[in-house]
Amino acid sequence: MKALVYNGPRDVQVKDMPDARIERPTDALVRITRTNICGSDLHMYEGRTDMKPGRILGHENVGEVIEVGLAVDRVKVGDMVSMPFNIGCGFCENCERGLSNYCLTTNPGLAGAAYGFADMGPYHGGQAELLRVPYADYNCLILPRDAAEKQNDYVMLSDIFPTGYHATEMAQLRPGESVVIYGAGPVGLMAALSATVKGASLVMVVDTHKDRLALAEKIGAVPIDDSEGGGIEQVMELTGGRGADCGCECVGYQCCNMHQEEVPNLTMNNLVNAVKFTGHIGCVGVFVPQDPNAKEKLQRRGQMAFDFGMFWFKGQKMGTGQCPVKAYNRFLSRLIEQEKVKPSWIVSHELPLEKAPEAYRNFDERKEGWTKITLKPNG
Amino acid sequence: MSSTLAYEDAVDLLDADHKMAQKQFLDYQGLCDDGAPSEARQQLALKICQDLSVHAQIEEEIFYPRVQAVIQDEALMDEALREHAQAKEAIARIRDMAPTDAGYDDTVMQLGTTIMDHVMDEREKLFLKARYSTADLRGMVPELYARKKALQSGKPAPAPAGKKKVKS
Repeated sequence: MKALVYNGPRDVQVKDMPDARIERPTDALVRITRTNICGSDLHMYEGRTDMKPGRILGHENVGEVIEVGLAVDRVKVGDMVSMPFNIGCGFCENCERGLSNYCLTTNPGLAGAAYGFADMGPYHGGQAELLRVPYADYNCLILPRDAAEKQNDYVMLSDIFPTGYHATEMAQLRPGESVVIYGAGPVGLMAALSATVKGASLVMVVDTHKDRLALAEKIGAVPIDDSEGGGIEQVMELTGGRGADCGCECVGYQCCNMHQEEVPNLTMNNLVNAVKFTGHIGCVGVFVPQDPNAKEKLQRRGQMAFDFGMFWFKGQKMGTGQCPVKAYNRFLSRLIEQEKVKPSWIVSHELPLEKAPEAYRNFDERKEGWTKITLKPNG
Repeated sequence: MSSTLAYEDAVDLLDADHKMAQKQFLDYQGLCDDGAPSEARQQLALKICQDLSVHAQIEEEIFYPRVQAVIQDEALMDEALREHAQAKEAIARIRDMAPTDAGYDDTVMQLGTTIMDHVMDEREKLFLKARYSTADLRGMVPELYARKKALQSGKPAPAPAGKKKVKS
């Protein structure tokens, strides 16, 4: 099968790989119809993780089931399914509590597995014609009947829509409250969409890229261009000097200042300052325990200079970590089915798999207009 | 005693060593970055070497043979042993060097890379396969624990931390 393979830093290639297949009776085999390039794929693309060469990338996958193992009951051949990026078993101590993001079975030693992701188990990704889905009854969401026509919407259910929603949940956003979201990348935009759905009175999105801020504005968020600095002042003006009721971090450890230099503590410390006393912060941007290729020494050890004094003084709380997609995806899929939301509004490019290396390059360079790329490995 | 051990299975016990090793190598990096004195660096380096030697020995004596008996995957086992051999060479080099020698820090950090590669490999291949197999990973825990403590102290295993001894 054709697949997008990671060869090394900034080197990905579409090539022939052995066909994905049923390896255990609980597996399903899915023919991928849409698979997105995610911002977190770029951490691997840039060689800023310990991803080994030879792995197929891709954890935002939707497709049609073409074969199931003997122990798969619920999922049938022909079903259109969305796969959460998390791979869970459904029966470990964490999965039992709905924390499929920290499954203890599928990635022994650590917690939490995913398709084609550094440190998250041996699983290949879905930027390929075929994908093997372990524990298929648990890890497939069977999509509504309109799935084929709305694939660019449903493909957002694997990761970024639930992840954006999760950021607002960890921030404990309630109807009528204001929220400040750092990052207008795909996850930040999905957090803005989720905040709007939840009835926020004011959604502020901070970024330095004008094309991305324009997308935030399209769904009624207030865009805050921080490329000249002064983002915090604007939040303070909009909230009468109190700060936002809550905040979301949707950038991660490779966040950049106005000069596009990496400053890993920038968004976290901005949030501490832009969120009110007692406010909650949901942090879904990726941070890593070690970053050997970073320039700065704290960063190499996975540390940062965090405004803990101000954080404590303001009595804030913070939630962190990857999203348990299964906690949200079924209900978010109904919002798409009922046409309450159209998360495909951020898609800028719909490309064949062969164009993936070029897409990675452009997305990585944050090239104007490349806001979200979805690939079609089977035409 | 065995009923009071908190490790759920052999993988949990062995990977706890892995996580501790990763933390120690990060700490070592920190000492280098901060220009710590050579005694402090050597103390940590030797502690790392000692812990890893014990870990490798209990894997080789107990875990590998029991798992191999069930999964019968020669290639996988050869790979694991090859990685252990590489690590042991580096450990011997570090023990022979003075912390002021040129290349001391590099040798320690190189061992760190070797170990973390091995850990990633083991988690993704052998541990996953072992858990899917019929090997008695839960039953192995008391033996692994006792051997580990004996090797660490040169004495028989003490009771696990924080647990009262039950009179039998």
